Amino acid sequence: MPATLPTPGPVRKASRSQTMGFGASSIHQVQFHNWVEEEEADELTKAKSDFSLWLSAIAKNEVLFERHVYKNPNLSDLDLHQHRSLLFGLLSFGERLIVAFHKLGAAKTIDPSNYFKLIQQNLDSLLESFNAWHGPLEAQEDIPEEFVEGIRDIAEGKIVDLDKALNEKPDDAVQV
Amino acid sequence: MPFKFEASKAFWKHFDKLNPQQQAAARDKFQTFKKDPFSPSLRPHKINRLTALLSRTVYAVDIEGDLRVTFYQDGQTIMSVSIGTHDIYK
Repeated sequence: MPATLPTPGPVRKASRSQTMGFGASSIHQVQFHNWVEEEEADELTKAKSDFSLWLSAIAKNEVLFERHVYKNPNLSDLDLHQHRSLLFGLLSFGERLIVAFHKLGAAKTIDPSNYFKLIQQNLDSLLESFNAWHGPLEAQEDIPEEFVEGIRDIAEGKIVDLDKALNEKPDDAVQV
Repeated sequence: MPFKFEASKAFWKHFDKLNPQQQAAARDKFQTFKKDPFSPSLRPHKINRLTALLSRTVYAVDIEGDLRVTFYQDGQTIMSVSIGTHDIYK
């Protein structure tokens, strides 16, 4: 991670000379190196770059999700595992970006409010996709109630022979 | 080995609520369904989102107009889950 690497060059040498007992006059020869601000600036550059990469990854993955999950006529378990894996990765990266921008905000390097808003919007959208495809059935507001009811019935053993369902009337005694 | 055909009680209840014309059309289609639930004439198709949510492959077949039946296969059992006209069944 370049932003956290120690800065090489003459400054380190000068600083080292100082600690090795060279005369006080040499202090005036030390080139000023504000590494604190430089470090923060590097973190900002990295956070901004990571943010752009993350947005690109979301867009790129959406195309993959369309092809391999949402509209895949041969959807398999492996496709769903990969879908979850990528969503988890994008969510995790987004949360780390929030932390990174919080740190930069605390150091007064940047006002991160707009980044927070954009990151949160994307996180919400990713989480929505995750829940819509991998969340609990009962929590889905747009799935027809009759389907949810059918699955619940099956889980509870409320099952009938198909012929009976097609040819007989459910009487009041049937708890449906 | 032939399939065993079962249905949820919710399917039973909702089938009973269809109008007589829809019920007749459904019974007719179910003749084909019981011979081969994956017969191309029924246009069987996977419903990806329901498949993902249930972690099992959920299919729908066309009955009449927008009316569709959802089902899944569990070994030798074909389980009809629901019958309806919702867009997600398309």
